[in-house]
Amino acid sequence: MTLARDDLAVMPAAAPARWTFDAKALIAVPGLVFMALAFAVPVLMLVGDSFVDRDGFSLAGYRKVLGDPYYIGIIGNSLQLACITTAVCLAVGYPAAWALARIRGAWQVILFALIFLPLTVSIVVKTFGLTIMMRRDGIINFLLVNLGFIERPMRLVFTEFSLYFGMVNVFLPFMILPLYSVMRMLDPRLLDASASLGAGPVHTFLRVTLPLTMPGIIAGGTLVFSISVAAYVTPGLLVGDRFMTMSQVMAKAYLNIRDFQLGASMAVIMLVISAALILASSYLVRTPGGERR
Amino acid sequence: MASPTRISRRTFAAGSLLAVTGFPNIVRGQTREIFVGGPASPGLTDILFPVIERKHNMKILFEGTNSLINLEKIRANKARPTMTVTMMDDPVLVLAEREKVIRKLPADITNLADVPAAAKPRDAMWVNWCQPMCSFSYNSRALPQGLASYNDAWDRKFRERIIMISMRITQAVAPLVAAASYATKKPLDQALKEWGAGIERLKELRPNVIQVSSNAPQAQQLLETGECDLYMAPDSRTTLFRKAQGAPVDQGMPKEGVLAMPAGVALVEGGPNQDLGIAFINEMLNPETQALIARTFWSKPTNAKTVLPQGISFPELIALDWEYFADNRNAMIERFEREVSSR
Repeated sequence: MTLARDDLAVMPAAAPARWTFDAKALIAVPGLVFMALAFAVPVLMLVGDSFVDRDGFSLAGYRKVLGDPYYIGIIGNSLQLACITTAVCLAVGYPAAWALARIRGAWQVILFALIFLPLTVSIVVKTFGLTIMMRRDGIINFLLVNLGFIERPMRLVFTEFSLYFGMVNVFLPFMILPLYSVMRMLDPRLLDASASLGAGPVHTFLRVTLPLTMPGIIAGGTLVFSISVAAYVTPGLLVGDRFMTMSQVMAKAYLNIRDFQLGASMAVIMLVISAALILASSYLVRTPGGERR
Repeated sequence: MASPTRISRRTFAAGSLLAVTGFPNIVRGQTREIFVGGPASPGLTDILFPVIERKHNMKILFEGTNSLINLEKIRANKARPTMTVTMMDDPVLVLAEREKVIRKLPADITNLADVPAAAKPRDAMWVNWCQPMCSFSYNSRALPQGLASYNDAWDRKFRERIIMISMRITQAVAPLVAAASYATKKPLDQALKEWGAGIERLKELRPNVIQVSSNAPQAQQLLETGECDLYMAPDSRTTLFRKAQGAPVDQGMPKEGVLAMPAGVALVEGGPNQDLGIAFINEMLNPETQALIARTFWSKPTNAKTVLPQGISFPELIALDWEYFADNRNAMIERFEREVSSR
């Protein structure tokens, strides 16, 4: 364990925060201005809308969302979707990122292409493609029948299986990328040292590799959770209204029933969930000594 | 010998500025174009609009989306409207009128005179350019004979074989009214106000429903590929258009009757190029164009002088109280999603 702790400096430790002006920070000004206009202002307007109804200040939107088992269930659906998607992406993405970080040459290029090229395809196209694959006359049923797993085609379209399959398909690269960036900086001699000290592969993984790649796991997990909790297109196309999510309620509130306070309140709750996760992950990547890894 | 004309840098800069900023506006000012918002129905941009463009020397910029989103866009631009004409369902046009974002159709639309009063509601605040048929559509390979009644959809043989359209889409009123009619024994035209009983009846349909979808193209594709047998309920603009293209689908003609979907068209209040908008709507109501609409959109024309193309006929369609529907739609959506759609 000492070995891992001592070598945690695979990533440079940041200096303790000081409130002195650094001219280099000015480089960030264009980005900050853009984000203020494109993100902060609309979010503030949204937060304002959530507290206002026709008669002025009101908490009716939050009462409606948090006091109604139907909407609580929908928040539960979104959290369930995000948790399962994140867990499966981690289980599938971790070994893929490890392979990507360890292989060299043409295979690395091919693996990179296989993992990241799908990002260049629109989510709508990918999701429609999945629907075609999952039809009774689609390739998945064809393979299952011809390999003898099932006797006749089964319904896959509009099932929760198809939803999670589609979500992992869309969001997996967002898990692999941060994991890969941490794993490629991992010194392989640490693993050799662990083995030479008598640790088996499982012990080395649990006590060396896993702790050292934890920042990648937390970053990838946060990223995948944040975007999958807000997913709209993929659940809408793959499972429809049977599995309502927070984003679908927002769309309904704004575009159909025109209850803007309901939509804004649901949006703020989603924002709070995502912000809490990001703050928690920031806390988790701190070392016991309080320094950021 | 005349000295060559000298252009100072200041003159050149001023000229360039004028060219860059002024020229597009001059060109735009001379372009006869209107912005139309309407449904994403096949046949509009590829068949109907090119005819109108050629005949009236205008350019139609079109944005296809559903009626409520269309209304939201008009509301957002109420101070400076960009849209000239909007094509929406009557229940949404009721809301548009209340919000004063559409204007009464002027007498310059001469073809209005040949449209019956029922198809130009609220004293011609808008006009129905056609009446698509709405009941249900079915896969004609799986069900060569179709269904004799809406109630056949509740049969156990359709377990997990039906896709329903979301109540957020106007056409979802068809299964709701059919269910209300069955539950109350009232005819379809009187059953809308009994929609609560319809929700109760639709709950019994849940085992047969594989999904409630607000994505109509996806649902249509799954019907055509046999993933489901019944789709409740797109209208004839989609179903018969796809049938004519060879897709194995057909429009249900149940014994209880077929609903008339109200496809309306209106002038946006304060929209640009109103004269072109008036010409556009007048052309939509022209008997010749109405015949083209009948065979392109498989929808009943509203101009009484229209001569239907050979081989095309329409049953007597049932009209609903769309103002009542507009007033109760949110409540219908809420109950439908909680009691019919949810897991």
